[in-house]
Amino acid sequence: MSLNGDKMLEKMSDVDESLIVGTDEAGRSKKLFLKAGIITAAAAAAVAVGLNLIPRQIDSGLPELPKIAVSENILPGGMGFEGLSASLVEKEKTNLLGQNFKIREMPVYKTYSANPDIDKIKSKFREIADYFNLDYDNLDITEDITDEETLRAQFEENGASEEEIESFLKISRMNTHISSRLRDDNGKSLISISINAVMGIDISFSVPENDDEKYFGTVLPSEYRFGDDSTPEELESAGRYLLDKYADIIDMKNPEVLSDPDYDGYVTFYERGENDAESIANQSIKTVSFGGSNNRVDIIRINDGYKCCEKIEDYPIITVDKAAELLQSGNYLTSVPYDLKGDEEIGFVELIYRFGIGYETAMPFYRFLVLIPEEEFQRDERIYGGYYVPAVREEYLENMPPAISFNGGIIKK
Amino acid sequence: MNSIEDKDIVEMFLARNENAIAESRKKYGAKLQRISYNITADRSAAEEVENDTYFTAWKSIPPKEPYTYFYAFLARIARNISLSICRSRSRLKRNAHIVELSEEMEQCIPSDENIADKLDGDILAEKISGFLMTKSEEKRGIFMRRYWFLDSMESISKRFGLKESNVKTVLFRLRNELKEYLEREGYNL
Repeated sequence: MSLNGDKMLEKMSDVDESLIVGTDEAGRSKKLFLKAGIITAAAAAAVAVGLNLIPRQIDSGLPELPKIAVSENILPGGMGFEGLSASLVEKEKTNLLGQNFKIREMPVYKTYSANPDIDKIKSKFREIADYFNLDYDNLDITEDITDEETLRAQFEENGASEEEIESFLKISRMNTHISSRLRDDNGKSLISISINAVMGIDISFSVPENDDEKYFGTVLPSEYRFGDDSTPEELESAGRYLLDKYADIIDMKNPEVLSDPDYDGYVTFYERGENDAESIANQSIKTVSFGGSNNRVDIIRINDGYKCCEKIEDYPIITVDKAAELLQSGNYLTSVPYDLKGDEEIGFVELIYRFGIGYETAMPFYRFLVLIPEEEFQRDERIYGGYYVPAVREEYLENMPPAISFNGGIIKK
Repeated sequence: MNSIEDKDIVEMFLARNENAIAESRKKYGAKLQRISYNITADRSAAEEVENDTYFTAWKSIPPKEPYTYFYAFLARIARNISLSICRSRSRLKRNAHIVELSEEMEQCIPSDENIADKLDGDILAEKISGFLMTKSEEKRGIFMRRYWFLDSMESISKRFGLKESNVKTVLFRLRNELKEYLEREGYNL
């Protein structure tokens, strides 16, 4: 029997069991959402922000700045909706930086995620491959780079409109990434490197099971304790050792440790900025994370977003009280599938940037973590959902329609 | 109360302890019915498939010992039985959803018949697995939800918190990539 659609569908039954188990709950795991969000800083709920670069006259003595328009996200963002258990919310509170509500201006950045610099990505990939002494010319490299001509032809053949084609090509360009995996003779992956459109770099190593296996990572000296059971202080100490060790591929001058609520054996640093506003932006845009166990590193994640964006201006922002009012009146963005009724318990508020694949602008938001009773009923634990109010003053927001899709959720006004 | 571990259920099967079926039903019954319902669109058929799944598992363990992926083992049986029910229906009576999925899968088949023939065997699932392993967790999830669990676009959209148009775009691209991947791999067979 030759191959046909039915046969293909039938043959899917026999795919690897790990894929079946691994995707049985796909899209529903909050933990996965959080872990995936570490590098791209909550990339799971993307907002693309368009810009109208013609300065507009702003009343009440505010500076004249280009207006920015919160618009519909066009890129698939992440896993499920954003929710945190009560214990994670408590850990989030330990990051005091985002709770500085005296800040009155914050920077806004334009990113080039929809038009990535392929040469820059390739050059960084080569730099990392060389750093680990990989035989670049013989590496099996996967380049997920948009072949505009071919894709356009395919779409035209299927009768797509110009608007649909442009939209698809944009999504495709945003999904650019280059990756490679070096395997041993038995097919075991020894090291893998991947770089995405916003210069998010993942380098992972297989920890050897015996002395004969090649290990590309780092074994920390015995005075360090780096693993699942390390204290935050031990993790930071080990992390600083690793920052030194990998200084050639990490561009970070003033690393500060970032409390990470949901990852054992994992430490993240961000670049301290010249002021708190810049540091808050850096917590999402410029970070480095190390993960590992038993004093061996198994992953390095470098988030070097400034390599693909430029600052527009510092924008005046609203107060947290004003943000709370907007939240109550329904001016929020969320990926949570439950509307706010107004009497929910707010567990935590912080200033945060959204940055990652799919974001055309990085701008600050007040993130409200709100108790979701419906989830408590389903999961037998208290779950808080993320609701976002744009922090930039409304005078500078070009386009806030009554309802904007936000990673499957809504914004209301 | 925590549910019993998979390995203990498998031990029961191996020991021919009939509680194995009750425990399997308790732990995975609803999921298995959901898989079957997605395919058959028939509640009573889904219940029957669930029962048949335990029966088939009972016959298969031993010799099989699915300690590691017991749920995947059951799910695969349920999926196969459900597809078999669909196959036995006449084309006209087939679930429109399955017809749609079949047509989508058709787009992944290499255009070169020689390559398609080479892949037409156990090697196909292996190649598809290899392809999916190279994809991000999310893309892998979306593809599997659509073509293994046979979820509707709407259901996938809700599950991943994405717009349906985004889900369709991801799947369109993955199908094209899978086709290219199979063509490339087929040349090397």
